[in-house]
Amino acid sequence: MKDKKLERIIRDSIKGKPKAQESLYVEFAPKMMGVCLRYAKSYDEAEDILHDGFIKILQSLKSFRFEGSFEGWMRRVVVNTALERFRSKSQLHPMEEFDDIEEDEEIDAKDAPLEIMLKMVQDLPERYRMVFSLYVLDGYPHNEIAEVMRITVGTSKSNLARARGILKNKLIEYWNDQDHKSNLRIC
Amino acid sequence: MLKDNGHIDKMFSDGLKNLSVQPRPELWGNINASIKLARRKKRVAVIFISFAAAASFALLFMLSNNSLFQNENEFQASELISKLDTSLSQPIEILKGENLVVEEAKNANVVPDKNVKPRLIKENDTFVIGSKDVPTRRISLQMVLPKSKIEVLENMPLSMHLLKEESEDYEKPLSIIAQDSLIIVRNIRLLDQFDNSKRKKKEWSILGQVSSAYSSYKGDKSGNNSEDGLISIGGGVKVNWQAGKKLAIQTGVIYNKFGQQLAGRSSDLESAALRSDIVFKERDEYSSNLETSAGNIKMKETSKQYDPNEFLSALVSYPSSSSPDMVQSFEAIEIPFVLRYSLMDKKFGLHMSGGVSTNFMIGNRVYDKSSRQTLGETSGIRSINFSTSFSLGLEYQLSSKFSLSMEPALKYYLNSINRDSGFNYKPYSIGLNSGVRYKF
Repeated sequence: MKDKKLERIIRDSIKGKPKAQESLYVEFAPKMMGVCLRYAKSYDEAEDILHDGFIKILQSLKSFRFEGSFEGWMRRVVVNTALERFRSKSQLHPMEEFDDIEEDEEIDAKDAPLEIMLKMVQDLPERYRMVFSLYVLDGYPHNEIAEVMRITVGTSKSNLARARGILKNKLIEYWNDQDHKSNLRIC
Repeated sequence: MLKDNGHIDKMFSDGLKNLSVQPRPELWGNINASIKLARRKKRVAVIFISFAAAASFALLFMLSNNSLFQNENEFQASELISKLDTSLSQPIEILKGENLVVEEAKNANVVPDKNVKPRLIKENDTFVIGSKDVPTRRISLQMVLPKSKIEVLENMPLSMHLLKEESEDYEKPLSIIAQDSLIIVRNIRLLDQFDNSKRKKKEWSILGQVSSAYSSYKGDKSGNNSEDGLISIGGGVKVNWQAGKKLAIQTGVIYNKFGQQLAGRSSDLESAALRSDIVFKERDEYSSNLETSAGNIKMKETSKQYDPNEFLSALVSYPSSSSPDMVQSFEAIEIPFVLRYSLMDKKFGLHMSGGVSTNFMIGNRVYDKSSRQTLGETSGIRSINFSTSFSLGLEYQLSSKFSLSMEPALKYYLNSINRDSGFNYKPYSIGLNSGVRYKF
């Protein structure tokens, strides 16, 4: 979308024009849904985050100063919505502690389909998923993650390491499974 | 190699960073509904907060006003008490100069008996003067004061003070009792004066108002012309007398204009002009009759030279049209008698008014809409007509003296304004009166 057109849509959305708001949604909803899916455990939860996030976006459009990327600003709002959700949930259900992940032997990396990788991330324990998504996918530094998640920097690093370990094991498991299936087909 | 953390990160980052998934189509509907609901809630909250603020402000204003009033009373009472104390400490001769008060004291028959040592004993509402040696003599307060004043006295801090001072066993010479009575009379008079002046302040107000109204009529339609309502502007001055806490009476002088717009007259005029009964009177004026619902219009020849051809050509020159091109207007000076009942009397006031008016007709004219040239007048119009009116008014108090008012009003003529029984023309008007009220 061209900058001027986008600016006009944003300004009209600020004025509360329904068509402009819908245009904004149509343009950015799929990308934001992608962000939500990385922070959610399921598709339904991702839609809930998108719902709340988009309401926040439309209500706080006035605070966008037309400096920098609008998409980046939207992503931040959506991520914050996911974090708020996480915080409210973690107050109700305290985080479970997990055993340390043992380092496996080295293994050659292969590709994995997108939906499998997404499922792996979604299946991570909530805190690990949040830290992993914030650090790896959205580029937040550990100190910022510690701040927004109300944990220490050390915990953030530790959670990231554990998330990586889980994902690595799952990937190995997946590849092994794939190898086994292909071997069966050859036979 | 998977041993390398960076490789895992890159692998997931490449795959998921720009993930784009279309949400379900109904999601936008839900978001939109939530936004609308939030907006509605916000609006309700704003309205609620505004009302709450207004109510708080009104309450604060009332309380502050009330406390001011109480302070005034307290101040007045304490002032009176201090005066009373001064008076009590002074010899009775000081009061002799106050003829009226002394006169009232004489009427009260409170004359000290030098042979008896008096005692003041309060029994219910009666002060008993007596001693152990002589029979008691009862002096009712009613001997000193009218009943209404006694009631006021009993409700006053001052009276409480006095009653406290004059307790059962408190012995005082009778001269002091008389002195007290005089002071009470004087104080009550002062309070009455104060109350009267305070009441008078609120009793009268004057209201200047401008009104714009759409007038039409209810009655038998006659004539071949297409008739439309007329929008006009009027105004005047009303005097408001506050008869009670909520009820007020208003009267005044108001100028107003009403009437109707006529269309499609040309053909009538032409035919009228061509008819053989057109008579051009010498020196005076009317040429033909044209029937409308309000009455027959007598067309006027404006030129001093009564040239039939010129008049005819002038009439014919008006194009035949269905759009209004002629105005039949009436002007009246209205003397209303209106009762106004206040529904709310705060910073924002709400009231409804209703009443009857006498309307003195001062204008009766038929003129061309575009050139405003007088063409004639309606015949048979009564000089005095009666109407009734009803309005619901809003008032905003700018200060203790000034307030802005706005009231949608309906006015309806009770009689046909044409004395000819063939016409039943009862105009009505719907308008908006707005103005400024000044309280004396």
